[in-house]
Amino acid sequence: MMNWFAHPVTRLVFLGFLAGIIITALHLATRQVIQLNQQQYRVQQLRELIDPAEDIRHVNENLYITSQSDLITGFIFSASTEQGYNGVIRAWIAIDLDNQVRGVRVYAHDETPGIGDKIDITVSPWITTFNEKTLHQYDWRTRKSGGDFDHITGATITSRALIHTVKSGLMLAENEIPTWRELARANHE
Amino acid sequence: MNELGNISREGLWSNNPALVQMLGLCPLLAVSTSIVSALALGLVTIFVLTLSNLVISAFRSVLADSIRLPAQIMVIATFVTLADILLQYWFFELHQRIGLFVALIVTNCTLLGRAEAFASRNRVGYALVDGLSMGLGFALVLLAMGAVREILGQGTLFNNLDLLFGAGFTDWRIQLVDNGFLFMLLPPGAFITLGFMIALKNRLTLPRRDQFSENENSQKENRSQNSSPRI
Repeated sequence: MMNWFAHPVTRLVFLGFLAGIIITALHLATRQVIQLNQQQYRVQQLRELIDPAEDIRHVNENLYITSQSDLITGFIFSASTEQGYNGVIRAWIAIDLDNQVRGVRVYAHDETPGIGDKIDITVSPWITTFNEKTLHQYDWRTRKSGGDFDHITGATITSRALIHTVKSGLMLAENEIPTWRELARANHE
Repeated sequence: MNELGNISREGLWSNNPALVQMLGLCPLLAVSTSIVSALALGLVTIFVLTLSNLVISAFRSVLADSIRLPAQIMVIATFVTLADILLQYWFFELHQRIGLFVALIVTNCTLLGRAEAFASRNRVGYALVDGLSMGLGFALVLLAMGAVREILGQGTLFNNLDLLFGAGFTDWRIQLVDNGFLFMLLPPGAFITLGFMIALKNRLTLPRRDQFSENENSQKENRSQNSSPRI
């Protein structure tokens, strides 16, 4: 009786198959809600950077468009650097149409707790130092090196990495804004 | 009934997975930085440990010796994956913080240890109680470490509890002191906290030096029985 089931390997394969079915079933049942959670979480993070009245529209993983009553007000794009103290730092940079910074938020980093993690808005407001800055009117270096930006005490490397990231982000945006506008128009239609 | 009492006493105290068996140290050390992460990971561990014990015990007659270990790992990995998905479904923001360690529960040796040492040799009911009490024992140590490290490292208690229970729990946050002692949040702080907790446990259960010489031999035996094989 049930000879095919006697071999241990058959049993293991059967068990694996069963596990696969259960996981797939749960995945399919929860997929949509999880995707929605992910988008909500993302948008909720980005909302902090803009006016409550504005809308955020998703273009792709790294680019969002902000608008108010159907007029584009700016863009939010992601930037990252490996020049921090430890691992990759990822941030959202919100700009208006004149390429002026509206706000920067770090959303992933592994900097030292208590020192480098002051780039995180929940730990310290330092990151707001970038608000309303523009690419050409400021010297994008730390004050210590003769620039216009304060660095975080004890975390010069982290601060420099952030300043550099925002600067390169703005340089990129300067070239890309026309393309992004096209994308926004296409996205809207 | 007494048997069940013994099993739960083993998991919660006398053979506690974290303090006596010293298994699953990776999640224990990494996640015990605050009460909310400790609580979340503790609950997931109880969930996975209980269910995997249950299933492994129920299937123990079908699982031949040659495939027992891979089958156990598969069962554990399945439940961890399910827990991971459910966590993303219900507590997405919390998952963003501890998600990495949830996946690592697979490597928590407490699970494979209990599956192999207990669930694969005992009745379903016993395996269930064993899973529950071992999970609870692990979770309580995790929670105690989370509390100590949150107070000393951050100066708060119950910070971010709303991630787990909803917005109403924001008020639970207690600010004890303005600034914490950062060292306690870093890995060395975890080792030191655990060290003190094991020392405290041994102080309470092992005989003192003055009593030691009298019944040294019997105590030695006792201790060697207490320490179960490590995996």
